[in-house]
Amino acid sequence: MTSMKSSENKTEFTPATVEFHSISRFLVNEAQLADKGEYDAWLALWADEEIKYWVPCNWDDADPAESLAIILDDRAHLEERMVRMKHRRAHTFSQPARAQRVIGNICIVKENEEWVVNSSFTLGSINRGEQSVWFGESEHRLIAEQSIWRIKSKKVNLLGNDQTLTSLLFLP
Amino acid sequence: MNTTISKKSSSVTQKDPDVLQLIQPDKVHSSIFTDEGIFDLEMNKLFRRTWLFALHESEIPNPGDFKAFDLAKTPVIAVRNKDQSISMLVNRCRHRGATLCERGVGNARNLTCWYHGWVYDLDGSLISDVGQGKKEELGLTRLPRVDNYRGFVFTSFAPEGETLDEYLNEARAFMDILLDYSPTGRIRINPKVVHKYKFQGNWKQLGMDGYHVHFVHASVVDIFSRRKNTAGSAVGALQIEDPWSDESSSRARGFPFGHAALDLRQQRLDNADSLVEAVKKGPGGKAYADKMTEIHGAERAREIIALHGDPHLGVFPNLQLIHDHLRVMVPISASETEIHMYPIFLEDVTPEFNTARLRNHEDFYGPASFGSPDDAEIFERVQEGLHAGVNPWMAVGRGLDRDWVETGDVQVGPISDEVTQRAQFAEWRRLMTD
Repeated sequence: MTSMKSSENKTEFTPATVEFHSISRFLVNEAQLADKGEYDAWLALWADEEIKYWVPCNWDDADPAESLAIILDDRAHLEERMVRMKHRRAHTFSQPARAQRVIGNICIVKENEEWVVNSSFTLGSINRGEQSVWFGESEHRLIAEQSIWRIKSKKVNLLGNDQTLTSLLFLP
Repeated sequence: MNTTISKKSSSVTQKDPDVLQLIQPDKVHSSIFTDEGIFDLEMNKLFRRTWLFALHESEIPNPGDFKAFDLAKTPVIAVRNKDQSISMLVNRCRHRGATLCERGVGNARNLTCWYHGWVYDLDGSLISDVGQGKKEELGLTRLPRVDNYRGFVFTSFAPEGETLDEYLNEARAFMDILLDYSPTGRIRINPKVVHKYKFQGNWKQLGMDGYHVHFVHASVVDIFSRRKNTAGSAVGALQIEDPWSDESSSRARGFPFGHAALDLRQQRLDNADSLVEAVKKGPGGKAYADKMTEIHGAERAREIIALHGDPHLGVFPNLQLIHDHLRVMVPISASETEIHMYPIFLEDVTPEFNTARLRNHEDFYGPASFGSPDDAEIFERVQEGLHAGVNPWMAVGRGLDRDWVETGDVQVGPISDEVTQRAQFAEWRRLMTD
């Protein structure tokens, strides 16, 4: 996956097309499902095979072959993550999810059959009575399956992924 | 990044603690976890006297390489000198006190203060003209002792005390489990590749605890037990035998000077053949096993591979070697602690073998992993509960009636016994009341 800093390569101004509105709506829906803890519905937004959910650690393009990630899920691991977030004995998730994010700066480029969607977010999360604020940028790669958007990959660069972090109780 | 908006109020400071009474054979007093006055005393009497883990020598391989970090609430710089020795300098200009380097790693020819341009050589001596005092008396403050065990660099703020070998003693054999897993006997740490993690709780909560796995990590044990093979996973090789059961051959060990281990060796050796097979099936595993056999012969290679390079060792007070990583505990206050987890890279193995170790680590450790968040959550709950003002004792007596002593004054019991906690608190009491 390419760096999200490559905006200078995007020669086209994102047009206010039908796809732009549809994809913006998709991102908002995805965020709301994640923030409300609707994990089954959230997982259903992903494509069936060969997916990648990547949140790098320490720097934005830290190569997973040689460095750590905060999240690096293939299909099987993402499914296990969903089992864990819903698990009645995972006490980190014993309280209902409480997060709220706002998405903006949406930019869309089409590459062959994939739609590459860059966006930014701010997110507030409550954990044990403490409110924390997170910032980041996302790159979604979407495909259209029978006119429904599905996520092939999602990469999230957290601002401060090189800082000392608390637990992430939300899906970035 | 996260920004905390609300903060819990700090704990009450106990002015004149009778520290001796706070550690009993089967219980410890809550104030050692919650009292900021005791925390300050810990920094002076414990952290600034005993040996502390500083860094691994591979983090600063070349002359001029440095790493700036905090040790015992003190900003320090570890520098690789021109003669390959390592200096530990206090990161504070002798003039007005500004730090010379930002936290992190870099390479420098000398260390220059941004405030008034005082320049220090890599060994800490002042080299610029500053128009006051004697130059030779204005060098950076050095930590008086630096020593090294097979690449693990330790330092002490105290000019005198036990040698590092005397201090580590029994713990060295466990450190060897980790080091001998590498074909060259050496490991590499990349200081930029780290999970840095924090929780609102006291640093002493991070002991070695063989008792909590089935409770705190119940969801992980459940999820991992659906996998075909969990050899080398953080919860052990569940397909063979549960290593966290008191009926297993696993042992909890408490050493002199507060070190402690969750000793899973016997079970691993009893099941060596199947564990070696599991390693061979992983990415780069066959090449690794062949190389180890070539170096050590079949029998010793089998033993090393079965032990998985995992000592599950706590070196008091600030180092733990668990699974595929080394972690440093960084106390911030009585009720806040950082953990810096560095994955261990083995020398002279195929890239995919080390990559698989990174994935194995991420599975259980880190801020969005399956294991660490549950640990942080329970530590924060403990910190909250410990503020209770009545009956302020924490029980650590499990196994007192059945544990035994082995050679070297090592306390031993079944895996869930609290010998590990008791070893830590005995050393805490010794240093704090000495």
